[in-house]
Amino acid sequence: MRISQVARDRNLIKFPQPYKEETPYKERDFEPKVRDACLANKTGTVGLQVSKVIVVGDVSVGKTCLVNRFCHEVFDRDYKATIGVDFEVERFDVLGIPFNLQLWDTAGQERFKCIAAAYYRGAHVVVIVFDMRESYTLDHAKRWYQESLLENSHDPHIFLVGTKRDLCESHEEVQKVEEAAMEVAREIKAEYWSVSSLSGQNVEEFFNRLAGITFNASVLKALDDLEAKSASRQIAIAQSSENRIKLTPDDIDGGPGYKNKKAGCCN
Amino acid sequence: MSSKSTPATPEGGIETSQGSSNPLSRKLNKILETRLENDKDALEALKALSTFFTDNNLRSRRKLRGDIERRSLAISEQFADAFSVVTDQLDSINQDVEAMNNSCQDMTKRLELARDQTSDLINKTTDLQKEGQRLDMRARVADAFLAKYQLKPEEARVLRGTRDGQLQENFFHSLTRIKQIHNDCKVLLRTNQQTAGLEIMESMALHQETAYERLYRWTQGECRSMTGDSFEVTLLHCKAMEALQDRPVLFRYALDEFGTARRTAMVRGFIDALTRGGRGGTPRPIELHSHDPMRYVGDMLAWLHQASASEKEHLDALLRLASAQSREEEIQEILSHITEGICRPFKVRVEQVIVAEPGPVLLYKLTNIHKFYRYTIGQLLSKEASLLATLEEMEEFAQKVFFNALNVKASKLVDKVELPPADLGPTGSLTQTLSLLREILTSHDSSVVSMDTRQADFAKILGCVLDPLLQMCSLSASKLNPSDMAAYMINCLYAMQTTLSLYEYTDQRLEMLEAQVDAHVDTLVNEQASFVLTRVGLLQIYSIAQQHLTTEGPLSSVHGMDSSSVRDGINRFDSFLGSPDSFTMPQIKLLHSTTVREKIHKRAVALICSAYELLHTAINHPANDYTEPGSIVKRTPDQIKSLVS
Repeated sequence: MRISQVARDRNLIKFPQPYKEETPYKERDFEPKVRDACLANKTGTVGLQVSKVIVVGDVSVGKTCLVNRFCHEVFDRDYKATIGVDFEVERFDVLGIPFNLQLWDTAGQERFKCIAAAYYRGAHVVVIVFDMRESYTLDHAKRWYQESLLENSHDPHIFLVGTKRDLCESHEEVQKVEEAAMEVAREIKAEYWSVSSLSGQNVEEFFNRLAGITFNASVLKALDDLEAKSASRQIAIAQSSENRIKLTPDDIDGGPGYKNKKAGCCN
Repeated sequence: MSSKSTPATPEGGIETSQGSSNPLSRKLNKILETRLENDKDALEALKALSTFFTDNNLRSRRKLRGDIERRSLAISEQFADAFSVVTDQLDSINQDVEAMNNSCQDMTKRLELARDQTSDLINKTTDLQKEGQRLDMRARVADAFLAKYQLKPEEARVLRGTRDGQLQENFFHSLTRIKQIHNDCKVLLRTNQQTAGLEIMESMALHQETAYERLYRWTQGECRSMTGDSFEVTLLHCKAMEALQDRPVLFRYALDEFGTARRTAMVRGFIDALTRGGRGGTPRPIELHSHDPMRYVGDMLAWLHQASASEKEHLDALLRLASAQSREEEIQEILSHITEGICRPFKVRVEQVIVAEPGPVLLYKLTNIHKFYRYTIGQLLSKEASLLATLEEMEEFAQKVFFNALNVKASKLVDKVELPPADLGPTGSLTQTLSLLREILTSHDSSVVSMDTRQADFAKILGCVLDPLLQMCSLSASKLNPSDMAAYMINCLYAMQTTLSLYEYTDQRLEMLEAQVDAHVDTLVNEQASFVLTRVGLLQIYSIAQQHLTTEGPLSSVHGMDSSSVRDGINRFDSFLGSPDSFTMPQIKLLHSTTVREKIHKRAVALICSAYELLHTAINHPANDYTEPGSIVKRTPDQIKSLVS
């Protein structure tokens, strides 16, 4: 759980472009409204806002490596299981507005799923990571998607990231994996990226894209809220998706079975 | 008298006057004309006649003539006698004069002879005199020259020195003289006195060499003897070093000699301070405190600092006159040499202390004290000094061992995970580790290390301790159900937060902990809301109402959503409204932080209110076809809100 000490310049002026043309996020540039607001410095509390990113995926697909490559520009070949969750904050400067990304790097191990799941709530971005060399990790992506959405009733941005691209032997293999991945991405409405934490290939681009989209969305939301506030000072609590009780299947079952089941899943 | 008598004879006169034309008349006239009273001679003569002519008689008159003649004869005879003496005397005078004249002439002759003989000599003498003056002049010039271009015997003697090799005060005067002469010779070289100039230069150079050699020997000897604890740098030493500046090699050697002597002295002084203490046992030997690592190492470092400072002072004193160029570099070099000897004995002792593993807190204090002294002594010594290198090495070593100790502790935490206690509070190992952390960070407060290093240290220490702690908490929490886990994690995180909040440079960590707490608070809020709804039996009703779509027909026709079931639920909800506190989850009661507890409570209540509002809207919606919706949900959501908050 290192906290990045170095305040590096992560300046975003141009809107980062997607990896593949096919993506659920059609943004190719900042919304004119967002751009205007940023230039006029009327973004309100966006600077203080933190966008929460959770990184999920199977054991040892390279979640921690991906985050470390981005945050610390290092790559550690030794495998060290993440316990519970690791936490990083990356500071961006988007269109001159400071913007923080809170990166929650969760443990892939089954026994920590309970703890990790505690951090899923309220995520703005879900990054589902799979290993390009292990097809079953891609198969599990859908399960990770569902699990992460259980705690999030409002729609987070979903990214599907294939790691260890450098280990793929041929271009054909990459293409094959990417085709399969695009299929899954289409299904879960995610944007797909192939990266290599070892070489750093696409890592920076991926996170910049992520930051760009999140920033765009969050400023847009802040502006909408501002408008809504000025229009009518009342905000119905029920309308806010945040204020809904999230119901897990266990809760609905209720009763005595509830505790045993939980205990089972955490072991 | 004879002439008088002649005219006075009357006979003769008458005869004569008768003889000439009437000579007689003339004679007579003459006689007549004579006035006796006017003729003094005649008076005199008559007076004289009167004395002896007493008897006037014929005979006497006849005899008168004779008498007078006789008398005159007698007088004449008397006269002649008297004059004969005079004549004799005159004769003898004449003789004398003649003799004198002769001898004078003789002398003149002799003188002339002598003059003839000496004139040559005189010429020679004059020549010699001139020569003498010239030579005198030259002698003076030569003296002046010598005074300017040669050493006085006294000076030369001083330069050669006494037998015991001691140096006299005026040695340096002579040395400057030599130098001066050597320089003056350059003037000579410019004139046509080149040979002299060269020779003098040569001899002066020779003098100089011997003088320098002697000076060097002396200085060397003096330096060698400067091994005592207290020695004095005398003016003579300073002057010697000043003079040696002209011979850089000798200067260097002398300095080296000094350095070596002081180096041994310092090592001995250190060992003495360690084992014997000061004079008379005060201060007491440092090793007496070797059981107390901080005091032991602290005393040693203080001694090193003080010793280094006084060595620098000695050097400065020694070289205070030798300021022809900046000596800073040389001083530093010699100082590093002097302090080098101390490194090993010091290092061995500190290593022993560190290897004994006195515990992380002490190790950390040791690291800091080294850091402090490295900085303090670093102001005296140059960066290359091996003493500083040793201090740095020791500091790094202490730091390494410190972090090792921390890491070992940390990995023990992760290896032996304690189960969370029943009250879901922080485990013993967590509180222990936190108190250790507190101790370490507090010891940092009292140290004198600069802010930057402090911040870096803090980050590293926190990384070393907090990350494993968090992992340990996660591990021990992984076997709990979500609510217990959230409560337990919040308690653990809260313990860390309260510890960290006391110290500076922990903002980022606190931010991170806060974010984690928030995540778990979310869980608890949700759980608490579900808990209340489950207890009053509204959960299923709520979830059906939430997922129900108007297109699926009226809500009241869905199984379990008939009026009576809903009314039952809402009525039981009243019991919650009656005593909301009894519906608090046990896990929330176990939270240590009251602010978190209140936060969860408020947010859970808000969630419950919104759930009630949803039900209220659904039931009152005509499409859902409930009869008398007012009797089922008696209270408006606003009422509920004011009731519970």
